[in-house]
Amino acid sequence: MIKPKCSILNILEEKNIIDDNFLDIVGNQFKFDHEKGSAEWLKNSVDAYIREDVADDNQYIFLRFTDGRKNDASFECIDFVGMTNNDITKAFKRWGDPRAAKRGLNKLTYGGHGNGGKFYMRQMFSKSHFITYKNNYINIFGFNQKKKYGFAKGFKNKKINPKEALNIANMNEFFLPINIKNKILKGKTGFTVVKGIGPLGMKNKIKANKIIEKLRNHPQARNILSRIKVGAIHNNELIIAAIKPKKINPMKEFENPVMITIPEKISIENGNIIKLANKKYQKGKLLLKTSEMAFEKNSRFGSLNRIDFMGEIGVIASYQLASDLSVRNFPQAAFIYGECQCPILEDADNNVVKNDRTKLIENDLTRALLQWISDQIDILAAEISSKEAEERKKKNIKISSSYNEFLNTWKNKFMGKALSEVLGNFGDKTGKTESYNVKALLESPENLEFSFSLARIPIDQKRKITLKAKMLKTIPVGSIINLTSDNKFIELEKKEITIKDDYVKKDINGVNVAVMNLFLIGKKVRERGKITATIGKFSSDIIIEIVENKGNKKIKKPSYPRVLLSSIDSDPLDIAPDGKVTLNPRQPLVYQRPQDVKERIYWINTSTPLADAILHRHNSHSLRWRDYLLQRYVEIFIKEAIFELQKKDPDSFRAERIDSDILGTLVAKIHSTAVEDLNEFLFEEEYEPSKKDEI
Amino acid sequence: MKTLKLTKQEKIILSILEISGSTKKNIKFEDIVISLFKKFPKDFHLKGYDKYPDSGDSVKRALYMLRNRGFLSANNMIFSLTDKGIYLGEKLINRTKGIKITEKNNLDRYILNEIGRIKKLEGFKLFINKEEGKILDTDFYNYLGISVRTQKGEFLGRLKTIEDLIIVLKKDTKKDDIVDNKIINYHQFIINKFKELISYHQEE
Repeated sequence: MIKPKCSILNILEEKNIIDDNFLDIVGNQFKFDHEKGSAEWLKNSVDAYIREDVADDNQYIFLRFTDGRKNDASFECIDFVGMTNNDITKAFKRWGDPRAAKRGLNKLTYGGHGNGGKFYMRQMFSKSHFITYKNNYINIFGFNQKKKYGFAKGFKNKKINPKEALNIANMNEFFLPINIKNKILKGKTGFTVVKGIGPLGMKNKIKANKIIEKLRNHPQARNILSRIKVGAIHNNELIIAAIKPKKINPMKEFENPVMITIPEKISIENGNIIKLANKKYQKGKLLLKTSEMAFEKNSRFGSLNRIDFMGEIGVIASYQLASDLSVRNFPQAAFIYGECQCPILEDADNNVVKNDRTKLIENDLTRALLQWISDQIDILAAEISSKEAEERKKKNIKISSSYNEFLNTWKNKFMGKALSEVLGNFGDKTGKTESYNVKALLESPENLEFSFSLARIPIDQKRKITLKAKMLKTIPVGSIINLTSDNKFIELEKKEITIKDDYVKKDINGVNVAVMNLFLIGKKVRERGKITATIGKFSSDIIIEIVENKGNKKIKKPSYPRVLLSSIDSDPLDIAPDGKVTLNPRQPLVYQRPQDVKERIYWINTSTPLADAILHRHNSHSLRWRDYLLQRYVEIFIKEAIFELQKKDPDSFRAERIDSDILGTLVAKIHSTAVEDLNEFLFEEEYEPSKKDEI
Repeated sequence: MKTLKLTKQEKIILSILEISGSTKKNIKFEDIVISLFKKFPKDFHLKGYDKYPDSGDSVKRALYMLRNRGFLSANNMIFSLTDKGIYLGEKLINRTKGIKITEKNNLDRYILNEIGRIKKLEGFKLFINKEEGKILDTDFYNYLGISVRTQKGEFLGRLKTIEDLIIVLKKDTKKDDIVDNKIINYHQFIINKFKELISYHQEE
């Protein structure tokens, strides 16, 4: 016996022998649903047109659904190209051939490994076959109930005329476009009818509309449906002439798709660098779009909330944002969808495109890319979120302002009456009380002194300032005081002043003090300067600021307080830097600037912790917010009443009277009036004040 | 008996102190006029009519001067003593009783009260914690112990009282260097930060 040497063994190649069970193992991985299977059939039909160089406009495909009686309902996909016996033997019969769809041509096709359509026929129907006619030959090939494939007896490359072929395929129906029918009859083209009988889950009654609706948005079908005409027939009735994908209207203010270039390299957690482009495969792009309506899970359009990975032609994988990616910013992300084109994914060395083209094969490259895409989606979702917050704020502002205006009107009708009922009328009807005009007491200066250290004078008006000199031995009557200005825009009427007898007065303690008026004019607004008075070793300064001349008009005090909302209402005094009074959470719930006091303006601080919490946890329309506003109005009533009492009846301004009349009677009156006048405002959830409201 | 020479303003303080029972109780102008006339008829009689009290400008001026110096609060001819006013009144009574007042090591009671009050203020605590940026106009009013609605005279009186307190603190050799110096610094900070508010109230 010859003992073979291992190193020189020559293995003689043999064909693989594959048990049919292996097809079940692979086929089960597809887990078809009918829209996905229909999409696979569509892809095969489109590829047939591509191989024949048929323009998109001339590509017709029909999906024909026919209800059954004895578990014999059927789905059919019809195109007008046709296959030869050779096509079937060399391409269709072969399992798992990545070149099957191309048939040796250098053309881009939707089909990948040539498995999808075949497995759909084999796994999802009781039996299935296709009738194909080309060049006057008909072939019928299919799967029997045992899932074994082969030609139908008597229909292997049988020569028949076109009319007979159309009859065999039940294709004399009205739906057939005339031009196509003529081309078939003249032998210029063929046709293929792929048919599945007894579809899984709907043996007799086919839910055609449901399948079509899902097919419209299916990642493997959307692109095809947008390009070519796919009609739908149900029980011999044309129900849709051309199935088109649903048009998605973009979200307002996010109309333009966001195009992001995929970086060439991404570093991952373990420190490795993942290359997403190289010399052969250029950088990819992610295109994110928005929808005006959310793609809610399990809704009609829920499946659109995804990123489709586009290959050279067609979709090579699809990822749902909610379930397949690590997107965090929901619900805003539910408004986003998009496409990713990353050529390196189709690099044969990476081998990340799966057989069924649903997901990419998981490895460092795909994980890094998917994480990067998730991050980009989160960024866009965050932008949507901040836009929504802005919108919410605007809405809150509008509602809050209308509520506040409503309360202002109510308060104005009620406040005067309530205060006079509780506190009584003081003085005459105008509310005036006895006033005392008290002249300033004369105080002695140490030596020489201006009455004030700072004075603001209106521009172009002669103004007097007062200078006092204590009558010392060194400053007798007749002395001359020198005056200087260090700013040319502040002009003195005289450069010196002589102390005269007339100027000398006695202070409260009987000391002689000379009181002198000197006059000056300011020539330029906002100029500031120093006036210095000097006599001997003594001197005194006063700072002068020139301000605008606002005239001497007396401004009438408003009849009622005006309540405004901080950060919402504009500043009527135009003092706030950006026109809005923005308050701090530490500032009082009801706030006034010194200038507001004269104008009787109150600001409700919308930044306090409680106000902020109500506006965020509820909203400006909520009863809680309305109640919050009312409580602030009650506080304003109380403040007004306290100051009114102190001003007009100071004799009885005691804690007991405040407790009894203001915190007791007045507050009770406000509450009972509010229940009557503001009933809907306070208790109706859906209440919105309008101009019609009468208080 | 040793006679003391008191100014008109000191006599007013003594009278109000007596009527109010050394409290901050509100006293009507008319009551003050009567009290002054009864207690010091030569100083407070109507000019030319020594049996009638003077309720004219000289009394009013003196009262408002005392308000501006922080000794009185005044509202619509109703007056009350401040802590500073009560302290001055008590000092005058001791002087009239011949009690020798040693120029002291301890701070005046009203000053101690003010210091205690300032130490508790949220604004002061922010200042100590170097969070000056968070100090607001409301902290300024709290520091002076008034509100935005306080009238000019009252405002000036409180400002004077607090300024006097700072002068005393600066001179006080026994002060708690750390805390009291911080009050002095806080005063300088807040007066500087809100100088425009001060001007507004001064010119009101």
